[in-house]
Formats: sequence, C-alpha cells, structure tokens
Amino acid sequence: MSGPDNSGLRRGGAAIVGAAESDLGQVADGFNVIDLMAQGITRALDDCGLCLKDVDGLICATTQSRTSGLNLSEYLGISPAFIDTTIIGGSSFMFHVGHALAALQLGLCNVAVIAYGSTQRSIGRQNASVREINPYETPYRPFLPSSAYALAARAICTSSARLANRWPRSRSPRGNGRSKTRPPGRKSR
Amino acid sequence: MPEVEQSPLAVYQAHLDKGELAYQWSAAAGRAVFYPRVVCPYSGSTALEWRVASGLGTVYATTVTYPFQGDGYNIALIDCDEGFRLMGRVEDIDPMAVKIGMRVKFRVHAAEGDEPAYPVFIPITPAGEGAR
Repeated sequence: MSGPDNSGLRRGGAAIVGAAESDLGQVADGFNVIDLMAQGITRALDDCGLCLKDVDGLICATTQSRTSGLNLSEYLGISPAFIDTTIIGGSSFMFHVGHALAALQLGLCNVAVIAYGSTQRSIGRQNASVREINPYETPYRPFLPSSAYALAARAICTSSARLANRWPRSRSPRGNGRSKTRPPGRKSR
Repeated sequence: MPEVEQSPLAVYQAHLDKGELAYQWSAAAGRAVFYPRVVCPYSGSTALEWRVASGLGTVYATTVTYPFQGDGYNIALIDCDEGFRLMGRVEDIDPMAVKIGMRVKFRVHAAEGDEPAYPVFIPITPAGEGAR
C-alpha cells in the first residue's frame, strides 16, 4: 500500500489468515449480494478456524446495497467496532486491505473480514447498479468500463494487432461460466 | 439566495445551445479546465473564467463500440487546441477510419426530446474545411 512514509503502519503487522469464495457464476435463484457476502465470509472463517463471534471488523463493497455494511452486520448478527465500505472500483479491495491493516494496528478491531458480492451474472448488467448519467460522457454511449479501457489502451498501443500480440487471451482460474467471446452488451450506461 | 446562481453544467449547456463549445480557464493554474466545475483541480482556485473554444482539435484516442443491435459507433477523446480534452464522437466518417492524430472540428449535435445538445466532431480536410 502506498502512502506517507510516516504513516506508522508496520509492514507485516497483520496477516491474511483465511480466504474463500462464495458460489460463483449463475448462483441459485433468489440469492442477493448480502447472501453471497455472508457465504464467502462463513467459508473464509471456516478456512482459518475462526467464527462469526470473533469478527469485530467488517469491510465490504457492492453497488447493489445502499448500506451494505449495516445490512451485512445485521444479517450476520454481529456489531462490528469497525466498518468500512469504501468503493473505488476494482481497486476497492486493495484499499480495504490497507484499511484493515490500519484498523488492526490501531487496535480498532482484532479480526477484520473483507467481502464482495454481486449478482450481475444472474440479474443482468442493467439491474446490477444504478444508472449514472454523466452529461459530458453519457451522450456518446460508452460501454463502461470497457470503452474507457479501450480509449486508454488505444492511446498507448496504436493498433489492434499490437494489442492482440501483447495480451494473450485472459483465462480466469475459476471462471464465472461466461464465454469470453460473447458479443458486447446492448446499452451503455 | 445561493452564492452561485448558475451551475457549471447550465452555463456549458447554454453555450452549446448557442452553437458554442465552452470551457473554463484557470488563471491561477494558467491552463484550461474541462469538464466544467466549481473549483480548479490544478490550483484549488474557484476563480474560473468561461471561454469559448475555437472548436479545433486532434483525436487523442478512439474506439468503436458495437451494440447488440445496430451499427458500431465511434467514441473518441479529443484534445482541443486550447489545451483541454473531452469525450466526443467523430461523425461523417466510418467509425473504424477515425485515427489518433486526426484533426477534427466541433459541431453541435442538436437537442432531441429530453436529450440536451452535445458536442460532436467531424474530420477536417487538408484544405481546412469540415468534410461533409
């Protein structure tokens, strides 16, 4: 984690002791994001021999729950001393690890869990997050985030052939069951 | 009464409705600011002056997006000569033929229904005229 040198955080001052995944891909009908987070948390706790009662730090991010930290706490029946629901896109969870480290070292909590859940695969892209209108970009119908990545990549690598050569077909270790070559989505947001 | 009577977006949109591409100038930073806002991101100054761009620019980046139905369309980032960058679409040309470095000129995409007017761009021919 980059930050001020005088942050006082000790590298190695905390450890990731358990990790797990919720069900992935097209999950059972009716699952919501809090269900999935709770499933992942339960499995991560099993992974390290801790239980819900031990958790006093709760960190999560999702676009599908307005007050996810509160909802997840209630769902799990815990009252965490430390809650953080920072959302900064895909790097949210890097920040979450940093915030967990800080909270642990400051003694704000003893066991922090970090959770993510999404039902976008089941309910579709349009329904997975609130549509945000940006008057300076929405009129051009960018398919986000892909179009943004394309524009950024185009500014660096100037031909599709070079891009293809540079980046081999990505392969997810635990795929979400979706074809990597499906046609792009219908509507931008 | 609020201290600021018109939002940055409202001023920008009013210029567009007159056929003008407006941007903000930060005297403190000595550079253009876009998109319009209430504070200069380079200096923190709130003294932002409105200016009207020449409408001339260069394609910084370009991509083509294909919807499920219908033809692919262009999305581009344009570097305006005044030193600000904005998203746009280059029209009157095959979307795939839009190239980085291509010189373009602004025109207004007129308001339609609930959708306000917004800027688009057309290629400039070597003679300096917009290609139609």
